[in-house]
Amino acid sequence: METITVMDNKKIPLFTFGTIILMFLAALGVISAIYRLVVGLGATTNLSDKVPWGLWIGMDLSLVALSGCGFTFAALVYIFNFKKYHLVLRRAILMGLLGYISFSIILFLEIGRSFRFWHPIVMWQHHSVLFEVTWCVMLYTTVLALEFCPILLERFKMSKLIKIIHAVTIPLVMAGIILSTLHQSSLGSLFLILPNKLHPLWYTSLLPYLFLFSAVMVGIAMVIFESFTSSKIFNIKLNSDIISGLVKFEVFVLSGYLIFKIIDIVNRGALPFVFTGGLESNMFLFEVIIGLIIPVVLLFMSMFKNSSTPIFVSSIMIIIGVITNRINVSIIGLMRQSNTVYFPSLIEFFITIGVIAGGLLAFRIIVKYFNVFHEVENSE
Amino acid sequence: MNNITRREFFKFTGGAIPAVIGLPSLLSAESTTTDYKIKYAKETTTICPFCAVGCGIIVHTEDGKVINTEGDSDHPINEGSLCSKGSAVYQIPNNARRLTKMLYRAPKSNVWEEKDLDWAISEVAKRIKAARDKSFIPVDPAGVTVNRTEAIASIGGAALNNEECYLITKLTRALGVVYFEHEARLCHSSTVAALGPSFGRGAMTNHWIDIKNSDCVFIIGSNPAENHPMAFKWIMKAKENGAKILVADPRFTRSASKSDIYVRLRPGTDIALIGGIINYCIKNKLYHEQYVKEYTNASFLVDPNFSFNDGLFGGYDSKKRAYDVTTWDYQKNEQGKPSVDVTLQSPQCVFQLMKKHYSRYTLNVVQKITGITKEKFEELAKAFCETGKSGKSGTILYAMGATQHTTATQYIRSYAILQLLLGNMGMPGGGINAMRGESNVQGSTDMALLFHLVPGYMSSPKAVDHPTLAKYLEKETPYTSFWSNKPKFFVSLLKAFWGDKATKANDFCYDYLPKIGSGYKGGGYSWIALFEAMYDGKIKGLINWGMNPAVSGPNSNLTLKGLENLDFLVDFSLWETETSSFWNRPGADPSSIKTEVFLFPAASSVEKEGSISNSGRWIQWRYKAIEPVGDAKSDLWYLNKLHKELKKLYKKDNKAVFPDPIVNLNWDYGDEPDVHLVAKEINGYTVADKIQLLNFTKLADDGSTACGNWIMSGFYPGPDKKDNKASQRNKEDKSNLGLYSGWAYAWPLNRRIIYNRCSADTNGKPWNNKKALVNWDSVSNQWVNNDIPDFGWKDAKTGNMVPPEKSAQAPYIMLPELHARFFVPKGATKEGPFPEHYEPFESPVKNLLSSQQINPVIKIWDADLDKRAQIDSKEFPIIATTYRLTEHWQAGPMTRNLPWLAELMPEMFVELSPALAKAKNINNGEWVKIVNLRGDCMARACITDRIQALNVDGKLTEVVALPWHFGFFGYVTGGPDNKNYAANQLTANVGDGNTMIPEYKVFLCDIRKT
Amino acid sequence: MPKGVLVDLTKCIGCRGCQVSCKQWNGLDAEVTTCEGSYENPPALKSNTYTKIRFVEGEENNKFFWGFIKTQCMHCKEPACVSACLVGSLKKSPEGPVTYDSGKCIGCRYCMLACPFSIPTFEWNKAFPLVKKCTFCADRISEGETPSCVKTCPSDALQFGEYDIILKEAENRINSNPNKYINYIYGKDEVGGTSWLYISGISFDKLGFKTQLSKEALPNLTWKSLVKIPYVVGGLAVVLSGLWFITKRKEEVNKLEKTHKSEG
Ligand SMILES: Nc1nc2c(c(=O)[nH]1)N[C@H]1C(S)=C(S)[C@@H](COP(=O)(O)OP(=O)(O)OC[C@H]3O[C@@H](n4cnc5c(=O)[nH]c(N)nc54)[C@H](O)[C@@H]3O)O[C@H]1N2
Ligand SMILES: Nc1nc2c(c(=O)[nH]1)N[C@H]1C(S)=C(S)[C@@H](COP(=O)(O)OP(=O)(O)OC[C@H]3O[C@@H](n4cnc5c(=O)[nH]c(N)nc54)[C@H](O)[C@@H]3O)O[C@H]1N2
Ligand code: SF4
Ligand code: SF4
Ligand code: SF4
Ligand code: SF4
Ligand code: SF4
Ligand SMILES: [Mo]
Repeated sequence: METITVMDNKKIPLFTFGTIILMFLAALGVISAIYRLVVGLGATTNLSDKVPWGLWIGMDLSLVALSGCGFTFAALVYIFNFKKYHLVLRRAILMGLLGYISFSIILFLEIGRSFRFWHPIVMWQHHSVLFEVTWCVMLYTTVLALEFCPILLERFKMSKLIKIIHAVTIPLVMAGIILSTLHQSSLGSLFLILPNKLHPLWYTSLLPYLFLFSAVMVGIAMVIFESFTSSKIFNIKLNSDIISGLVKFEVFVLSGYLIFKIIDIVNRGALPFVFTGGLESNMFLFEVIIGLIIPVVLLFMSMFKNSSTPIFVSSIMIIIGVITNRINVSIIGLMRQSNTVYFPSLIEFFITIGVIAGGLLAFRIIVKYFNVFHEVENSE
Repeated sequence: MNNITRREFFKFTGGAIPAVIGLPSLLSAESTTTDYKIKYAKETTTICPFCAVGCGIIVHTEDGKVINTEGDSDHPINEGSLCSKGSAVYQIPNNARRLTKMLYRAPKSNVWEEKDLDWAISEVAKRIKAARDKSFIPVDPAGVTVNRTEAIASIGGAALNNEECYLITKLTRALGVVYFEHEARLCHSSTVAALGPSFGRGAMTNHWIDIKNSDCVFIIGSNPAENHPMAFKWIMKAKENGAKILVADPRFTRSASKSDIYVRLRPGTDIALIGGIINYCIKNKLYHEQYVKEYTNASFLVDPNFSFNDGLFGGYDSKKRAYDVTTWDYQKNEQGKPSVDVTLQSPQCVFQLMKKHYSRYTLNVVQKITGITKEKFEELAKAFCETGKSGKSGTILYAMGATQHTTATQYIRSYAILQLLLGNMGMPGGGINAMRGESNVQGSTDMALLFHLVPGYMSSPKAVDHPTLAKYLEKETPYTSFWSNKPKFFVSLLKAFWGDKATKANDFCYDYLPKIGSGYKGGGYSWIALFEAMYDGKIKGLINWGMNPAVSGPNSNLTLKGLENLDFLVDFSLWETETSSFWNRPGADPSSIKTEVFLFPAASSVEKEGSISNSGRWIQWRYKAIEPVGDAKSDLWYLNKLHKELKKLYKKDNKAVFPDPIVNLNWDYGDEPDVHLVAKEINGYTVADKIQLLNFTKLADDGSTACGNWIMSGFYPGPDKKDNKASQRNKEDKSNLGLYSGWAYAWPLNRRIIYNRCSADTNGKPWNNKKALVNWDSVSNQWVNNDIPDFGWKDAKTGNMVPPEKSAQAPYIMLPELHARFFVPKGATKEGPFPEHYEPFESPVKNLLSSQQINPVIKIWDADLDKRAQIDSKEFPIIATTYRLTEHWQAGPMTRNLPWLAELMPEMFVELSPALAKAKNINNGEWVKIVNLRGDCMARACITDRIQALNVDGKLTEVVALPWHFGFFGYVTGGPDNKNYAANQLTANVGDGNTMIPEYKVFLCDIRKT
Repeated sequence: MPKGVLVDLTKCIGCRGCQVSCKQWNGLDAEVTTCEGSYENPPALKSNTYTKIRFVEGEENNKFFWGFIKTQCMHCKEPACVSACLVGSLKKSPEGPVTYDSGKCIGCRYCMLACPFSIPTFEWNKAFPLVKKCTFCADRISEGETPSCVKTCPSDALQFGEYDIILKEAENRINSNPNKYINYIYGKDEVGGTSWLYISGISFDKLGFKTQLSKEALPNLTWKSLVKIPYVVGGLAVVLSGLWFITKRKEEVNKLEKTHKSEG
């Protein structure tokens, strides 16, 4: 049986310079969101008939990918039984949950008829990828919430309920993995219907696989990144064992993804586009070099050297790389066919930043009041 | 490929999903189906208020509101279709900019005041009476009773119904007004001046649907795809049947985009082009010989003293800028009839003279003048001359590209000559189709809202020629031709005007009609003269029935200044226009403008009832769909009210000047005037027992019949509404030629194609059996007719058939020679018997054909604002032309106020060639300025390959083209506020030699970057 | 029976009757526009403009041309927009029109993105916006009327009827006039076929048509991955349970071994 030692997280301060800025940004986001709801999308965004999807969708895609840490670590711990990662599981799940909640908030504001957000629950159209994504996301968010539940329940000492949840942990985890596999890939499938619109650098029938793959990849990077930052911010000891394990995984996944991507590009004859210059090829190169090649090299080297900076930097680069990828697929890759240059409006930025700031604040509050950075010991 | 179907998917998921799928449909209450919005609406038929194609429209109304308008599918001309304007009719009754209140502008005021209608009408009546009485001329210096006023002018009417136009004619003439003009002057006056003398009537010879029967459609000087879009329905049908489409236009137009052959020519040079084709046709013997010999005056011998030298016919007086026309006549035989040479060999016969005249129009000269390449010319000439073959027919479709030149009458004359040579007149699919412009400009012209005519194309009494009725009838009635019946028409008209007061004893009130004099500066009373006189302060009051001269008149700067010189302006309109708000125009100071303005809200076409005549002479009825918006009233109502008010004033005032024509006017249509009463009067009735006449053949010259317009007579032959033939909707067409004789009523006598005797040979056999209008069945000795014959075919008294040989000698019953004219005698066209090319008033080049630079008989106006650029002007080297767009209507109020149309063409622009743009460093879409001596106009540059410079005598000459629909007032004006975007700021007050139609289509300018 | 419209570009005179009549019938407001140096306006389809004529000038076979091209929803046989719509707001009706149920739409705009012709538009300026596009005048069709734009077309450039007959007509025109027409029916195969078909005398790419569109119906592309869902769910469930079972076993075995060792 596991026992849980609660570390002293009560000391995490709520009001620091950083958090005040976050609060300000979140407040700005809230005001912008209200404004957006009152006056509509046209007046608040730079979206148009030619660019129906913009920053928010790009961010949504990214958020889901980043939140891939949840299912990735659940799988590692419960299915593959890599016990040591249990230590970061809670953070992964919390990050996932907050990611999905942020995703939902943005989506709520993104759809033109926000207050019809519930329609897909009763109005079904199973031919739509988006329908599938919506359902998976809804269900998976529920799963994440349930997975996160014990942490809340602990605090209120509702051990009976905890027991019940523990009992269904494995089915829950499995459901989570299945749902995640489905929607992480389906977010890629969303773009399969655009063979004539999406730039050949990104359009591939393998988009769903690439999306899934990269979600796993960035999930790991997220946990690495979080471990480093939390250790700095919350003064928690960095578990080098876990980190080095994750790095090994990540090198493996990263290079796999990179090779997958290269083979796909070459196969489709899209290689020439990589070097033609221009916005698309530059963004593609950025995504690949910054997000994949450099991190692979850095992480690989770090396995032989005892230095943590490259690991931290790589994790950031991977995250940026995946966000870039999502933005490339949903915005940059569609620019040419739409003949329009899209750049998000201030409000689009305010809301996006506000939601992220809110997420970070929530993370801070939750780690302050709940036992997220727990330590697990074997009772035997 | 993965071919899993929906069903398999369901199977796979074990049917669980389909079960749940039922749920959403229960939960989503809102449904997909929108109601068919016109399901319960009331339907009313009407005719499009825009162009003279006359498309049928159905108006759907609910609770007194128009909720939908769409094409009338039963209507044979448009078969349910409508162009962009017709489709936008909905926005005329449903429009926040419509005038709903009477607006009054006091002298020097800078605001409108809303006023009571009754007050305003009585004020207007007072103004009119005062101006008339003060200026009245009872007797001219020569001692002739003229009973006219030259201080009041009336313009407009082409947008109104026939019955309204008739009342305008009646009231205006009763007042003695001679400055009496309308759109027809600016539009097709030159058509009447050319077609009348050539064939006998001035109208479009065939009709819209008939175009489908053509083997070759020659679109020259017009742009039907844009301006008569429904014509293209039938042009396309012809094309499907193998017809060639030819377009000759300085611009590559929407019509040109559908053509087989397009030739670009310099504006103002059609006479040279057609002259070249005539020459080509004669030289290569491509003409229809039998037709030419039998049906035209080709064989007539001409006065041996007739001459032509260096661009001038014999008898020219350069001081008077006019000809002595005595030598322009036929040689007469013993019976006083023209001598003929049936072999066409005599050098003095019309044919040989014509051949000689056109032999000068060599390919080389034509090419140099027009800028057309040799190859293009030959391609074009060959294609059209194909129709000279017996049985083939080609049609010419023309409009303003021809009519609006200083040489316009002769432009159209040359089309007429070509069509006669090729035997295309009177043929289905042939003819000269003068495409009329405004929805009822045909009707308003028939009603003679023109100074020189009275209804039915009879001359206005002239002081010099017609001091008495006897003199009038003597001078105006020829011995031959159908016009020998003129006294019947004229006397019946006087009876219609003055009823019982018109008696034989008082010459049927002949003296009540004003007699015209020589007009302003000897230039008559037509449009240009009218505005020159107004500019000169001679005209005190202007009554405007739905025109917008501030935008549509030439030389708008002069026009606008002229309006400032008026004491009062009475304007009936649907909108506030540039004209009624001229005192508030950019740059004007209202406090220095004394003109009093009365602006009355007029009912639109769907808010009233009446008939209108389309270009094919079809008189069609339109019904009232809704009540007029706000305080608006129909023009009929205003005319009725104004008459009543004037009569009251004149009756009351015992010092009134010559009140007789007004107080005695035969005018009893009820308080709320009944349009059917007016229509019946137009048709004519017997005076004694008020029985409607069958048609004009029943008219008499003894005062026993009254008829408001003889040519329309027959359209309302009975007392009841069901007798109204304008409202006929019978779609039978036995002929398969699209005649639809049971649909509406075509004047004269419901003939659909005039001069139809010529569709058959002298034996009465159709040249082409598939195109049989009339057919002499030699077995039964009968005429078998699809159309109403336009010749003597049945003896009116005995009812016996007249054999074909007889009518073959009189195929053109409206001309005294009874034959169509290659050669127009006696100065009926003032420039000469044959068309000759002269350069436009403003031209970059010298005339290459003769030393006569411009039309020798045009009047040159000389006010300070009348300026002219020199030949080969360095300052203004570019030729400009003005044209129309499908999406806009004329001077703009009718379309610039309709948001759906404004959206399509929101701003003024100028079309120019890429080469010119490059030379001037002009970018596409940027604002530029077009300037000349008379004014300037801002426009967006529209750089296009559709415009190209022309090689004129070795010199590249640039052409720019300006739509003329924009101004300074409306939902859109043409650009940013407080500027005037009217192209007519650049055009000149100069007109054609016969009718003084302004030369809107060519002038010089320069284009500048702003 | 599915309906179709044949657009014969050799007949269109660019009069824009269709553009106005569409607004009239559908009660759409005008836009405020400016002149950009061409006749074309409004610049693009919009929530209040379901159809517009594009004006294209160019040269083919050394001959200048001025083409007028009507654009509107193509009413694809297998519409990408319909398959994209997650709430079933868009539907392909058996008569041909792709209809829109405004009561369902959540405004996600995936349909707009999915449409290969970029047809659907959005009421951007409204707080509660809807998607807008040509309805094929389904309300008229169901009453036995022709679509408003087709009815109004003066030059019969638009012809409405049973799809099969319309397609035959297109083939007939091309075959009987090989010199007049390009031998291609645009829309016959594009994205699996569309209810609106175009024939032309000028090559389609010169007129700005999307000539590179795949012939395959686009919904197939996403459908291919959607149909995998059951397999993925089933497969993953089995695999994951298997894995879990194996690792669990291993752990238990390990434990047992440990105890055995310590015992032994
Ligand atoms: N949409 C629309 N339709 C209309 C009108 C409108 O305002 N808008 N107005 C109506 C009225 S009142 C009228 S009178 C008619 C006018 O109908 P159109 O005559 O067709 O009108 P325009 O565009 O003025 O002129 C026609 C063509 O003549 C060409 N042209 C100019 N000069 C010459 C020349 O010297 N020779 C030749 N061959 N061509 C020349 C011009 O380039 C132009 O393309 O249209 C009627 N229909
Ligand atoms: N540069 C240039 N100028 C031209 C031409 C050209 O080709 N080039 N063409 C000339 C030609 S052909 C013409 S016909 C003229 C036309 O010139 P106008 O006749 O002056 O022009 P419209 O725009 O037809 O006039 C429209 C007016 O009619 C009114 N109206 C419409 N229906 C009714 C009604 O039922 N009752 C009343 N009372 N009013 C009504 C409207 O309110 C509007 O004010 O312009 C000429 N001007
Ligand atoms: S403007 Fe002319 S062509 Fe157009 S609908 Fe009206 S009558 Fe027909
Ligand atoms: S054209 Fe676009 S909007 Fe129309 S049916 Fe096809 S996919 Fe849907
Ligand atoms: S915007 Fe509306 S119609 Fe389009 S996909 Fe989303 S829910 Fe369906
Ligand atoms: S079918 Fe109806 S909705 Fe579609 S473009 Fe035509 S008129 Fe507009
Ligand atoms: S109505 Fe017909 S001819 Fe006119 S623009 Fe539309 S498709 Fe072309
Ligand atoms: Mo006109």
